[in-house]
Amino acid sequence: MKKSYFVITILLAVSLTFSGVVGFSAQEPKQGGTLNVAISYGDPSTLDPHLSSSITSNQVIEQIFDGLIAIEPGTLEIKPEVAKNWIASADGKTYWFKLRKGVKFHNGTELTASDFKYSAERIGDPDFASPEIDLIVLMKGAREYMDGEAEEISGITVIDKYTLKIELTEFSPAFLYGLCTLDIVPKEVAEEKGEDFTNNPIGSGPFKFEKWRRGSEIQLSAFEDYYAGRPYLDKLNFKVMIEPGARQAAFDSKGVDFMIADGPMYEKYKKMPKSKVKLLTCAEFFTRNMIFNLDHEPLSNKKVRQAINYAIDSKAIIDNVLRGKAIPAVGWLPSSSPAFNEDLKGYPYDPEKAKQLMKEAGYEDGVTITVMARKGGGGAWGTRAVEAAMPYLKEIGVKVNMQVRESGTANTKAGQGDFKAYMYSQGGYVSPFRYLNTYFHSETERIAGNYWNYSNPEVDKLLDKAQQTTDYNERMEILGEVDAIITEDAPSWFYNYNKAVAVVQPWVHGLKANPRDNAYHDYDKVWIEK
Amino acid sequence: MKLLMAYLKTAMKYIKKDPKLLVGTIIIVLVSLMAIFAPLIAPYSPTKGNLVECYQSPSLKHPLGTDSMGRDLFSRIVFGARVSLAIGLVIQFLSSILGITLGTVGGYFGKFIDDIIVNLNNLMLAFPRILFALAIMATLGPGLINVFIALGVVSWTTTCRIARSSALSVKEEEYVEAARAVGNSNVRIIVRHVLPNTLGPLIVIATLGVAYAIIAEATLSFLGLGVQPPTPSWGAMLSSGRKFIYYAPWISTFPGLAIVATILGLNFLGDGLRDILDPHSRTEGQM
Amino acid sequence: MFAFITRRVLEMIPTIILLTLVVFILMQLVPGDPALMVGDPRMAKNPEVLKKLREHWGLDKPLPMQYLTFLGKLVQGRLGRSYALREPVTSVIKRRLPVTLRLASSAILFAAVIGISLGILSALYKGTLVDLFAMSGAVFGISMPNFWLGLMLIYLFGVVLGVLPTSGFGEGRISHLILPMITVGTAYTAIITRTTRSAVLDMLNKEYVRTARSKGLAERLVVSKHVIRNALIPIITILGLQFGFLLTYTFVTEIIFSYPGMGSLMINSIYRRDLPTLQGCILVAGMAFLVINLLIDILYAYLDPRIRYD
Repeated sequence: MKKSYFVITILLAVSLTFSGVVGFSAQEPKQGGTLNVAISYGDPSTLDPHLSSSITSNQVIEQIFDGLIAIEPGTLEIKPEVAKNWIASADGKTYWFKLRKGVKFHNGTELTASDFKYSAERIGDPDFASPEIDLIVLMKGAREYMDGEAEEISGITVIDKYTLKIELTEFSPAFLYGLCTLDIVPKEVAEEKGEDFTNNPIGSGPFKFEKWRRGSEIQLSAFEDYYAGRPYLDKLNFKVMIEPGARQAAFDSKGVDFMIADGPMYEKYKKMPKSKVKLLTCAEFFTRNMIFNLDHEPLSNKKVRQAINYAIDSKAIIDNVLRGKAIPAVGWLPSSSPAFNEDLKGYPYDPEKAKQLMKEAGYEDGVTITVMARKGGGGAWGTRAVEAAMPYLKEIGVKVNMQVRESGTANTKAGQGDFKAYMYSQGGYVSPFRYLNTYFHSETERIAGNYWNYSNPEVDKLLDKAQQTTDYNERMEILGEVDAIITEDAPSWFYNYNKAVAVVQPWVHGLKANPRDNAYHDYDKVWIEK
Repeated sequence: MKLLMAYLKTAMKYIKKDPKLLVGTIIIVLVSLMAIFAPLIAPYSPTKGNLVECYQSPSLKHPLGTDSMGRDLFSRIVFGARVSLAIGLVIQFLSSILGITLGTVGGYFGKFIDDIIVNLNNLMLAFPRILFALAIMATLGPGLINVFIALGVVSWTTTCRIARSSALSVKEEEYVEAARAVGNSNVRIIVRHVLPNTLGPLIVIATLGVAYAIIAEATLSFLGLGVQPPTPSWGAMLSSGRKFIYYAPWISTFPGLAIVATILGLNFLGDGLRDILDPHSRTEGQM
Repeated sequence: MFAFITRRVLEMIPTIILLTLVVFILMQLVPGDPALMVGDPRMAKNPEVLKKLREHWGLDKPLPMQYLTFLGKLVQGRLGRSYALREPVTSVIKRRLPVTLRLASSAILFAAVIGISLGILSALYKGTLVDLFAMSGAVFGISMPNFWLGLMLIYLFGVVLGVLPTSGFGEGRISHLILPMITVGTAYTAIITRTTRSAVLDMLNKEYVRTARSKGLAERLVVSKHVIRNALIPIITILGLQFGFLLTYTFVTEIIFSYPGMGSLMINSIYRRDLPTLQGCILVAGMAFLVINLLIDILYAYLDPRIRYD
């Protein structure tokens, strides 16, 4: 046992959270009541935590299930959940987790280390085809297990009922973030139900599943025996409201207490007095950008790409079309990212410089580019973003030929590199390493995120270095450097980072804006004053 | 042609008698004039906007306000008349050709050709029409031409049924038999004797078909697969403006009213014409 | 009669099979990989997951094999598993169909009540202002694109008046049904009004009605006794036919009101490239359509013995 151990971020998050709640309002939290949350993005397809990888389902699933650890919504730090603490080896390849005693599933049985192991193996089960295998693929023996060559994931050792050891094949800065979303299911129940588990999900989270009317509503209720204490709310309902008008009507008539707002909605509620409505605002982890396919002229020319960045007045578009509901992008990493590079200035609006660059690139007579766009986004990333950029680009001789594609088609074409430029929104990763590596490492396949076919040996080198750097601050430094190089290379028109806005009724307390995605919240800390 | 003139003459007579016909005709004439003289009427470009002026409520400068891209809504609606009428007319034209050809051929020749066409017709009816169009749009991608194709291909069933039954009944008529006996070719008989007989009811169907196509395009836009922006079709404007329905209601309201007025006009026209041309028909159309 | 029904039912089989083939081919033409549609569209996908999913769904097999596998299951009464929902399609439909049926039947009832009343009124006062207003009212319903009407109703009843819930199934409470019902129903009043109007007009011109009138019976009695009863056949036909269409035309309303029926499921299935679910839905809707048509024909024979079946 020569290895020296060090504690990774043993957090004060819980106490911080509580002080945050109290600070929010001087009143004492009250028990009881129902919170109605509007689901804005779509209809949850499943409540099985191991079959879902979408925010729509996960915002509900996270209330029903717990992982070993979790991400604190406000600060994005990793906090203990079912595991009360953990330590890692110096090389970052082995982790030991100590589980809390007496954590109960909703059916009353105790959650133990073997439930975690089962959950990981359920994800890896070759017959189960879980979309979440990213979460376990780094674990030792996971590959063999997934290929059906081993009976278990050898890297997970259940030392005793409350102690787990997880061994990885290599250190990864993204591993712990992934672990936060590995939800633990009760072995007996999940085994018995199989794929039917989705209709009656049982977890150990603060809310237990009551009822699900698909396409309309999911009802949860407080779990009395929650390890961190019973949530304040009695009931938590998620209501599917995809149509913005319907959602807004429901909010205005007090039918929902929480919803995600888009541009003009934001302006309307911003103008309302604080006593009428609360807004939760933050820079969300999504970079809205126009991906340039680097395989084709003229966008393979760096000068043209930079010219486009200089040519468009992103701020003017954001202020007018989006009514200020976005943050102008200065590079790839959103300003809320821990690795955000403060020195980056991005590309200020400078049409003269843009024209100059076009001239240097040899395109002073103008050029036409075809831009693939999808409907939606309200001007933040969809067709309207392209429409807004068009007149600016025309000024420097770039004629835009917009090609509207439906979501499924666009995804597929992007993955195949079958486009010239593509306007969309990427991101969603809390780990800044993943936020960069997924998109810009030359070894990342196109379909896996490198839609540009971006390849810069320097970026690769730095990303590889970051991957092996266990020191947090050092890693952030390197990643900030990567961001600077990418920004200079201008593989995209960096348009904006989403300013996520959630609109909340004034009587709801304890919610905090979440840059990870403003739909994720710790609803067990929420209480209603009524 | 003579027949058509006769129809028109009677129509004029009826217009005076039937208030619906009158209202319908006026609306449609107005909308058509708007479409034809769009560049003269519209004060601004329908596709170029000024970002600084977006979401403006109706004013003297912009009588119907501006949309989310700062474009003049009035100009867009005026030009939108072109697009939306084109959508209605082209789609109805395409589907009429398909329907009349299939229906007449089936009815006239009978036997297995007819069986195939009847079954095809049933298949189309059993298939949700908009869904079919949606799948075609997803395949071809959004755009005006593709809207023509997608909706044209799925809208021929009613025309086909009517053309077929007219062909069936005319086929047995003495003058057709006589024409055949004299040695006229089938094509000639169809064109000279069978088709003119179907025309009456088909005009009614076509009027309503135009209305249907305009609404269907709006529905496709609602589902995200209509014409491509910045093309100003009323349906697309209404559908994309609905996001701002409580913030800037004019963006969706005015295109919506344009649709309502036009569809109302077409329906009045269709109903009026039906009373004249085809008083006994029961239209089994679908929305 | 029995032979007729048997023949008609047998005739449905090729149509149904053809229907599934059309859906299958159509969905092959639509570009887009269903595996890519699993999860958050904004996030990158692991190629290994994509491959696994495709294998899991049998998409790695040749196309004819895929279709034959589907047909094989269909014969056993199975519809396969939904890609997106990871459940048997039959249980998905079992959950959604009753909701749509509920919406469609209440909407058709709503349309029938309004449509028949307006139709009779406009026939009795043909060519007058009453006729104009009645027909305008009816036609107004189809003039408004459905989603717009829905949003207006939401605004009026949900926000301004605040008397009705504007979203969701609400455990099947009637209050949640009202707005979707009106939205769907309004679009069908026009055609019912029209049919009623022309049927009543037809009857009013019939000789025995004229005779009845001349005999001095009160006009109202004539109308109710003879005209309406005889005009009922075409009206029932149109109601039935529209009901058949309605089962698949509630989708816009379902989306606006988050009313969880089969229509929105179908649309989502196209977007998600969820072929098994789409197949299942179209199959059910298509069969319903054919069966309703058969029922109408049978009803015809029952109401009007002059119709012969050969």
